[in-house]
Order: sequence, then C-alpha cells, then structure tokens
Amino acid sequence: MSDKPGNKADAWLEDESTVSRAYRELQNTEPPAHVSDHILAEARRAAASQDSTVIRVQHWRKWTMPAALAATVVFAVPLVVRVFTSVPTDFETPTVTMTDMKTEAEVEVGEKLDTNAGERSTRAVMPADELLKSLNAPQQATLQPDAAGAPVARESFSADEPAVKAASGLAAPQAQSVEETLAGDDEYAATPPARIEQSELRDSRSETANRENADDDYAATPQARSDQSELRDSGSETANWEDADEAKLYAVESTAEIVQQEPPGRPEPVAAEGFRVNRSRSALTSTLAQARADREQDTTTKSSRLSSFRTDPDQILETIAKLHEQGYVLTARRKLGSFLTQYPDYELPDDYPMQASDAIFGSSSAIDTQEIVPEAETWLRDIAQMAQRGEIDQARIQLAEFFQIYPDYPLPVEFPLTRDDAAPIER
Amino acid sequence: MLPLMPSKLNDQDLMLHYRDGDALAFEELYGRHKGPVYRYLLRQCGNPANAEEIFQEVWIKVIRGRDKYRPLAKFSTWLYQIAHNCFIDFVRRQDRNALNAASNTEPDELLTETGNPERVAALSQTGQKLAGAIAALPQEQREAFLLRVEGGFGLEEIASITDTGRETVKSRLRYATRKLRETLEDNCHE
Repeated sequence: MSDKPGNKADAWLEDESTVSRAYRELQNTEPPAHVSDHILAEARRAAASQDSTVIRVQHWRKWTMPAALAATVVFAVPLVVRVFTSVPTDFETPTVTMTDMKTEAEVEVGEKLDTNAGERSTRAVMPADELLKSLNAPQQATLQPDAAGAPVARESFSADEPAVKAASGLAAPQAQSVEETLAGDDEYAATPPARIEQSELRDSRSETANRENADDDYAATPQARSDQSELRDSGSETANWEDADEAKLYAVESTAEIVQQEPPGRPEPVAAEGFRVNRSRSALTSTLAQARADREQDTTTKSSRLSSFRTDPDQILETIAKLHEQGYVLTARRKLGSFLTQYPDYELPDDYPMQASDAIFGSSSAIDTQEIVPEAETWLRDIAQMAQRGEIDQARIQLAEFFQIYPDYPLPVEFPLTRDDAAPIER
Repeated sequence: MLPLMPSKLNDQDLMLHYRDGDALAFEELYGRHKGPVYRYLLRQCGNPANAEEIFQEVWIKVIRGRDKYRPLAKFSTWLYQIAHNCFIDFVRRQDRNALNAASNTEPDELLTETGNPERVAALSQTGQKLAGAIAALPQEQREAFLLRVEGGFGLEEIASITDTGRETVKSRLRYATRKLRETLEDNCHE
C-alpha cells in the first residue's frame, strides 16, 4: 500500500470494493418467516387502531386552546383583583405622615409660646412688621432682610399676639378674619411663614387683579392694601375657603420644609402658581431664606426637640388643650383623634379639658366628609345646648365653625342664636 | 387514505403513509429493510436467536413510534439508529462474557447457526473466511463495516447512527477493511 494520501484513499476504496464484492455472497441471509409474520401482524394491528387514536388525539387537541385560555383567565383575574385592591392600603401611609408633621409643628408652636415668650415678641414682630411696613410705604419697593437677620422663624411668631396685630395695622376684625380663614380648615396648621406668604400672595393676587398696568413694584401698595382689606373683609365663605386651601397647601409645604430641613432648590409652593411673582415677593423669599439659614444653625437642637416631641404625648396633649382653650374646638377634637390614633392606650388626665369621646377620628385630608364633620342637626343641637347652659361665647365659636362647614344651612326657628351671632369669633 | 403505489414512494413517504394508517406502506417498507437490518444485527451479536429478538424489538419500536416520526432525515438512518440502540441495550442486558463468546465463535459455527445448511454449503470458501473475519473484528469496527455494506451509509451517517465522530468512523472502517482484505488475500494465497 502506498504512503501517499491519495494512494491511501484509492487503496482503501479498492480494498472496500474487494471486500464488498466478497461480502455480497453473504447477503442472502433473511429473517425467519415467523418473525416477519409476527412483525407484519403487529403493524397491521397498529394500523387498524390508527384511526381511533388519531380521532382521539384530534379531539383532545381541539380543546387544548380553550382550556389554556380558561386556565389563564381563572388564574389571572383573581391575581389582578388582589393587586388592585391592595393598592389603597399602601397609599394610606403618607397621610399619616403629614398628620404627624402637622402635629409636630403645632406642638412646636405651643412649646415656643411658653418658653420663648420674651424672645418671640422681638423676633416675631420684626418680620411681620417689616413686611407690613413695606406694604404701607410706597417708596419702599422691596422687602429687605433685617440687619439682624430678621428671622421669619415659625417658632418666634404668634399670630394671636397683640403686638403682632398692632404692628400689622389690621383692625381686630380683620385680623380675626385672617385667623378665621387660616384656622377655618382644621387640617391646616397655620404656621407663621405660611401666613406671611399668604398675605404676600394675597397682595400679589389683588395687585394682579386690580393693577394690570401697574408696576411690579410695591409702589402701588396702597391700592394693593385696600384690595387686601377688601379681600379680608369680604366675608365670602368661598373666598375664605379658597384662601384656606391655598394657605393649607403652602402651610403643609412650609411645615415639611422646616421639619425636614429641606435642601435648597425646592420648587416654588403650589399656591404661588398663577400669581405674578414680583420683586417684593423675591425680597420676602430672600428674607425667608435668611431666616431658614438662621434656623439651620440650630438644626441639631431642633431635631432633638422634634424627636422628643414625637415621643412625648404629654406635650402634644398640652398643645391640643391650648387649641381647645383658644376656641379651635373642632381642630382640637381632630387633633385629639389623631393623638388617640397614635397613642390608643393613652389615658387622658382627669383634669384634661377634653374627653376621649370628643375626639374625631378620620382622614386628615377629608375635610368635607361626613366621617369628620358632625352632622348639621347634631352639631346645631350641641350648640343650642351649649347656649342654653350659658356658654354663649363657646356657642358662637361653634356656630361660626358650623357656618364654615355648612354655609347655607338654615337655622331652625327655635334656635337660640342667629346667624349674626356666629361672627366675629373671639380667639 | 388513497391507494398508493408503494414501489414509487421513498422510505420517508412510506413511513408517513403508515403513520396515517396504511398497513401496506409498512409492508413495503419492511420488505425493503428487513434483510439488511437482520444481517446487521446477526453479524453484530453473532447469535440468530438474539438477532431475531433484537430484530423484532427494532420493528416493534418503529411501529409504536410512528406517531413521533418526522421526516427530518432518511428513514434508514432513523431505523438503524433504533437498531443500534436496541443492540446496545441488548449488550448491556447480556453478560459480557456471553457476548465475547459469541464474538469468538468460529466462522463455520456461526454460519451453521444461521439455520440454513444449504446456504452454508453453497458458500464459497472465500465467503466463509470473510464471515469469520467479520465476526473476529472488534465490535466498533464491525458495526461501522456492517453499516457501510448493509445500510449503504456514508461516513456522516454512520457517525450519526453510532454517535461518534466522522474521523473515528473513517478510521474504524479503514482498519476493518484492511483486516478483511488481508483475510481474503490470505485465502487466495492458500
């Protein structure tokens, strides 16, 4: 055999050919007949049963797709229903958080009312005074931050303080109207920055509405002021509610801003949308920013204080009691409800001005739902009983709150008070 | 199923007809492949009784597997794959020693066991020598050679049936052919 590859292949083919020729002599061996018969019989038997098998398979396959679809629906529908029904439960958490924040803010205000009475009169009057002076002075185009920083700090502001009212130049009924507007929404924790912003927003809006061709500056402040007074004196429940809603929106943001020490770059408040932002507003914003910067210096102390508030129900109850004493009865009742929700096992002190039965439980955002607001007839009956017991002032406050919730509700003929008795409310 | 002319159809079509219930198609198919498959098994195991047993098993598997048959390859390839697997299973079932004893059977004895003494008598001396040489081949070389001469398969198909590489099959065939040719040459010289 040759060693060359080509010769190797040729030799192999030649060998194969030789061997194959020889092998053909052995190829006549066949399987025995009985084996073939057995195999062919088996094949015929299988072919005979072929038709029924095919029909059975086709019949089964015909139901494959419908069965798969039915199974998919049966398993998918309950799953989808379960997913969608579990979503609302997951979204209840933020509401509770906002309530906690608001409670902390009010507790902080109450705490400051007690502890920093001397300091707050100085610190609180200055930003409000500065703001309102700028409103009164046409030459003062913008609000400049106070030389001392003029912190418009929430903790140093007390709206019901006489000094503030006097400095603001507002008549008592007007101030009350503002207070009522702000306090009208029980869920609105009227923080001082929010109030200042609201005043400023009101000025902006009145200026925008009445002085379309006027300069952006506060040189037109007298007219704006008159517009402001008109707004405040309007007594329109609708206007009050709209303002309260706006203030509420910004108050919540302000509260969150202070409590959380939000970093710079925060978007403008929602309530400012639609209003013209003028130089005064910019000045006021800078003033607020300065105040915020001052507060940030005291971040550690504030954070620890807020932390202690979160865990000190006594101080929360004290704040709620103050709200109750100041006439914010409905607010106090709802705060008490929130408090009892947070501390369900806490027993109110015996000398506490409210009872657990006075608490109103419910969603903080549903101001107009029947879950929170008492029914009109029940509420009026309570007010009538209050007036019959001689608690006239308290009955008038309650009546004013009643008309905020039910502005068009007719008083019964035998009701001891009239609609005029509902306002003004002494805070 | 319409009447068919089996002889005009290839193996794949016949199997498809049988899959659809045509028994005549299977008879045609069986007639074409019964001899080669039987001889392949007989030369492999060396015992007619065992070859018949494996042979029946192969065709029963073809009958029962007709629903799964897809004409992706030649029918003969599929058929010999079944035969190869059945033989492997048989080898595993049987005692190794018994198989080796069968492999070492003398050519005359082997041919006698085919059950056809007349055929044995009619075989030439060369044929008897060749039958003995085939039986003496290693099992892998013998299988490759038998697939080549009985099934007419190429290297790729043999590699596919035996699940080995093409070059391995080529090598086995070369060794087997050389040994068989040497046997034939020796017989001629004698």
